[in-house]
Amino acid sequence: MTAPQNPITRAIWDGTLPIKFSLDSTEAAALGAKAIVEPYFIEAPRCSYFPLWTSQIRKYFVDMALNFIGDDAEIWYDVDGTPLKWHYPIGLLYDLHTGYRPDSNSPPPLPWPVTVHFKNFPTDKLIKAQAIDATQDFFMSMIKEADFLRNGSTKKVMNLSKNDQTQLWDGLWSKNYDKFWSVNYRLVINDGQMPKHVPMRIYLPDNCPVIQEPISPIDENGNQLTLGDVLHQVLPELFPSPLPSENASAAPVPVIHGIIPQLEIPIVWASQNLCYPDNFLHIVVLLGI
Amino acid sequence: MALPDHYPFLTRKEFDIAAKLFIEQSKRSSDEEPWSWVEHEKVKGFGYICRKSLVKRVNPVNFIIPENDFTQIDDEIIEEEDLNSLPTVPVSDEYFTVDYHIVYSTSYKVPVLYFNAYNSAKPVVAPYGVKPELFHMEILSQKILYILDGTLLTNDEIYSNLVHPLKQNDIKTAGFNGAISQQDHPTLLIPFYYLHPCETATLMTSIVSNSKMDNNKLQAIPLEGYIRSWLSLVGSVVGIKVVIDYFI
Repeated sequence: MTAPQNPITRAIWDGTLPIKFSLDSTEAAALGAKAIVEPYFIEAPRCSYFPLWTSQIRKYFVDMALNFIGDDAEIWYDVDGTPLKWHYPIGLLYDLHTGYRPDSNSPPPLPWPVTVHFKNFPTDKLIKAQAIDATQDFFMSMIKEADFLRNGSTKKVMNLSKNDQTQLWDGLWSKNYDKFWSVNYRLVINDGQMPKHVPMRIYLPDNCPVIQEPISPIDENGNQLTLGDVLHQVLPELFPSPLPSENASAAPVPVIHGIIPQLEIPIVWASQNLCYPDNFLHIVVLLGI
Repeated sequence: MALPDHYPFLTRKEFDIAAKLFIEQSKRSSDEEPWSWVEHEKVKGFGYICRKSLVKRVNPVNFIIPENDFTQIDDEIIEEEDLNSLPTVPVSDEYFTVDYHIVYSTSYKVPVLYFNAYNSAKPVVAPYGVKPELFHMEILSQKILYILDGTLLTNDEIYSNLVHPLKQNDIKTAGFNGAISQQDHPTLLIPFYYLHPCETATLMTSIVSNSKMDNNKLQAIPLEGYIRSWLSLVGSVVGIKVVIDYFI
């Protein structure tokens, strides 16, 4: 089965991040590592999730003489002491935690240094769950929520055949673009109908709650809203105008998939082309340099 | 009485109004644990309703003191031989603490029940001479001490301890992953259990009349009654009772 050709969704699907996984040094000693364990490197799709890589990472560190017999669900990751939410896509976590502005003059922090933990799972900060199954459940509940936002019900997703539902997850898991997008295309295009609301979340610095408001893609006259219109509507203080600021580097910018999209793009187009596999537009807002 | 503009859905503004009316009802009622309103410390528009409850487990199990718990305690206070002479008494009323939060869902446009249950109150029989502070205990009755260990109940423990046995199967098999799962609290961004809201609108529609001819039933629940009605329907699943005073 092949998906409709779309160079943008294809490029996003193929986007990867090199990640450097290092052991927490105090844990390494407690788990019987005698010498310093070398880090492990992976090139992970931005659209993927950490639990899909855990068994591979675990195998490496156990092969390097780490004495760990626990479950994969005990393993977690952090960056600079902040536990990484495993139910966020990897690309979103990178944009959020590095705070790297693609328009800055410095090179991006790559490979991305991430610490692996085999002990002391922080249940007060991270959802504790059975690794891959839970990731699939989360993923499907996001897809369902996106459907509810677009149509006011979850019928489109619930009416997908069991096979099609499975194919979404299997496609993501096995990095098979055609498998995933041949089903997902039907969801994001919404049978050509203008969605009621756009599934999107906006992430701000400094532990602000994630902003998720019901965003209509059109104004009262039926004109399509742009990404700039939406940001201006939701965050008027950060985006005083729907148009780009003249002093570009001092102004806050939206970042999706590691790029700064143009504010003039229609929000519906952004939703259909730039959404993550969970059907949401995850936009990280980075403040001026 | 104000009606929601798009019943069964609430806007954020309507939720805030309904929430404050509900909190007043709770304060006027004989309920020992009134509900209160909490705002996000920095950002406006993320307030929610909350209350902390001491909840009795639905499946009381005979609790027997695990010996290991005591061998870790300072030997000067409990000698090994004391351990063997300690009575292991079955305790039927085991309690734990539940934080209940009623949070507005901007996607589903209905209130959502979030909760976390903590193993805060595990009763053990007080061994003679043990200073309660060594255990970080709270004495709730003369003989029974409650250890405040603060660990979260797991999903399985929530089903077996908080959900009524007759309802467990229905709730476990609802949706993709059962009706109770974990998610980040929308305001606090930390893990909380929640009851999935995708059927809430249908439920709220089912309790009102869809016919204007039917004078005996309401066509929509007013803001004043929205949360108490909703909570009396969904709350019972996880141990919340809405006492009759809320409706009077």
